Amino acid sequence: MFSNNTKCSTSEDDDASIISQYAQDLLDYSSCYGSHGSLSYSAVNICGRPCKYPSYGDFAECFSLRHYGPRTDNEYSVKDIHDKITFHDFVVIQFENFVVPREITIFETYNPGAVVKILAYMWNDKRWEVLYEEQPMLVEKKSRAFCPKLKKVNAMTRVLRIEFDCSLLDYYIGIDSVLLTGLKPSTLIPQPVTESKFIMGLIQQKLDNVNFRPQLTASDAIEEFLKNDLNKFIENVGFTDSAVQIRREKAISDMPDEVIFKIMSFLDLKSLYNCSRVSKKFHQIAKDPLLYTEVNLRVYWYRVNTILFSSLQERCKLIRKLDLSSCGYYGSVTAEDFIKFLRANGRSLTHLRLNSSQFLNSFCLQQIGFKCENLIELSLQNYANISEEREFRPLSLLTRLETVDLSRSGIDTFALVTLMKSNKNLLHMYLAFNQQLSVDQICLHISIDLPRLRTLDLWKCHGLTTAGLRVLARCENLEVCDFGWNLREESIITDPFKNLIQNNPRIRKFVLAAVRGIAERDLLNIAALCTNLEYLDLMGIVGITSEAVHKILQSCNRLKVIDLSFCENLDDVTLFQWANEFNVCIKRSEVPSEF
Amino acid sequence: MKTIKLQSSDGKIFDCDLAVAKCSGTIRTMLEDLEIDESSEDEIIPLPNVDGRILRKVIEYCNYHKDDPTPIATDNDDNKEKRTDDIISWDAEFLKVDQGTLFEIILAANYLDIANLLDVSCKTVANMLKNKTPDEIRKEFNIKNDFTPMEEEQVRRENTWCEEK
Repeated sequence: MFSNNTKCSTSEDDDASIISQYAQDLLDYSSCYGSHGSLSYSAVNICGRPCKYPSYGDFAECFSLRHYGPRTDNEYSVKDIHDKITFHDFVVIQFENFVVPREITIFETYNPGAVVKILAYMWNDKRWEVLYEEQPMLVEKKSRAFCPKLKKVNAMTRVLRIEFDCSLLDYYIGIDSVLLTGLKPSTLIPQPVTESKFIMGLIQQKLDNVNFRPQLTASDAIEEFLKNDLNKFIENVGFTDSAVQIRREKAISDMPDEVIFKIMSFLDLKSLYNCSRVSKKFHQIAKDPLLYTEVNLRVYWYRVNTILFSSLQERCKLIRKLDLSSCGYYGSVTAEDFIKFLRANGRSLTHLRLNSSQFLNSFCLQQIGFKCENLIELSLQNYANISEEREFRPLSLLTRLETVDLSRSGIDTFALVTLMKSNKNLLHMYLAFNQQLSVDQICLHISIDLPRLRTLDLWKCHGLTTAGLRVLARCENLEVCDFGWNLREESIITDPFKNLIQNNPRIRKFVLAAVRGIAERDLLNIAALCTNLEYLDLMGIVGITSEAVHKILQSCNRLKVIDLSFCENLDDVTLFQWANEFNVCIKRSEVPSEF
Repeated sequence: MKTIKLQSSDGKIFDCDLAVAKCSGTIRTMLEDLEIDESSEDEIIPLPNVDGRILRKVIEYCNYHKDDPTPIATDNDDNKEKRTDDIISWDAEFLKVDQGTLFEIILAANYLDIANLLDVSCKTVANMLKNKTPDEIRKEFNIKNDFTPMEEEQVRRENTWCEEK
């Protein structure tokens, strides 16, 4: 880090120049446990002062993510093709005052250790700077003020993005607040830095002639040259003793193109681009479209720009899978860039992920419908956070979709129904957090048009009633059902619920969190009929007895995880006994007593 | 067990189990073409592209891996692994050689058509290329920068996104 546009002279000892502030606004987030319009567990809770720290436990007043543990069902396609740290979730927060960041404290109040990366948007340079990057950690389960060592930067920011990897956690995280401490920008005296120039003397001219360049800047050039390059220089100019003939060893330049291609096929995107700068031959091979059939820009989101996009357009003639999640903050990638790319290469795409892609608009969706006729997977998570005007209807031009993730996309019922009608081979449909949907109507069309559907995620859609459940019971291939926070007004759901599980014996994951109508007999039906069940979430179901849950533990032999948080009739002693008796992971959140 | 003789480019002869030699697709084809099988008399297979030092290494590798299950070839490249951190420790130890030898092993594996050896040795080189700047790559592998200034400017522009600031 040495080429900031502004160099700063500061007096860091002076306390008056230091500001500490809590987050003011939530700008973006990947997911949160809470739903829109409710403050419980919502992402916005990360703003402001800590309200629970230093207490430890499951607090609705803090920010919690929807998922924890190793991701399985939703990480279905575009693989991360390198060993670098990846994130699953993020928040972007804004503070009131610009500062040169010196210290960031994250108040973690439940299951700490998931923060893997912190980035700051540097206002003058118009780019993101990584301040902290680490693997997720297994840490002691108590509240902590996490204050990681930051990379030192000398530019100002007031926007932070914090990335989480919850794969090591065994339950939900809780983040109370974020404190940013830094120097007031008024204490900075901006000094434009002049571009370092290469030395252009006799030596440099000679070097150019012999095709040999030490990549040095003027200041330390001579010393570096003598230290590192003189020998090679002499060798190149031809001063070496020609009598000394060493048998030349095989080098990478002796490899046939197909071998270099094979080597490059094991490289991640950044390494491929670095290779293409090495020499003409490397450049030629590193541009081969066969090396760009799967491009995952999600992990490079803060570096992706228009230039990269247009150079990729050339290289991606055979692209099949593309992930542009989180790309395009502050106009770094535009809708035009994306549309141009799709016009050139959209036809070969089979998988497209645009979760939280900031450039997304109705024109992009239109082009996806027009150009990407071979798509079998499309993911548009969090589109509703990005754009107010959303026109989904062109998506019904697609006909081959098998997986569609529209979580918090804001899709309307009509567009979704037409999409379903034209994609009757849909296997996996994720609709979480879409409260605007008429869920019962969607269920009716699922039962008519989507005979093969295996996954249905309706988490926090809220609209499912017994009417929807009754028609959904006509499905026969469901394996994953997430009805969390639906069926809220129903007092009795027994018959349609029984029909559903009777007709869908392959159900292995069942989320019934906060489904009020679930009662004793429904649990007994689960115990009798859901023989393939592996995961059962009964969070917040108040009326159930230990007898019914015990029955499930006894009869569902494949059960691995059961969530019994806030099931008030079940006491800790019973749960402890079950944990010893059954080979099942029993989840229960910790709520410290207020008294 | 039937053995055959392999002759390196520098005239050295190696006795080798037939099963081990058959790890090489090239040798397999030769044996078929020459109609050599279990019952044949001592035959010498000439391998004019591999010298004795490297052939000894290659036979050592094939000997260790002769019982590996053959990977099922599929047209579906969904399963194509790009991971380079899955090299088993015996292979990693085997490939702890100087760069010249590593490239000779690659050339031999390529010529002899030994897929798993070619894969693992190419992965080893890929690991040497990873996380390096173009300049560090040139230094590591002694490659000449043969771009004209104009071409260099062009490729530099394409790469601005992955430069550490």
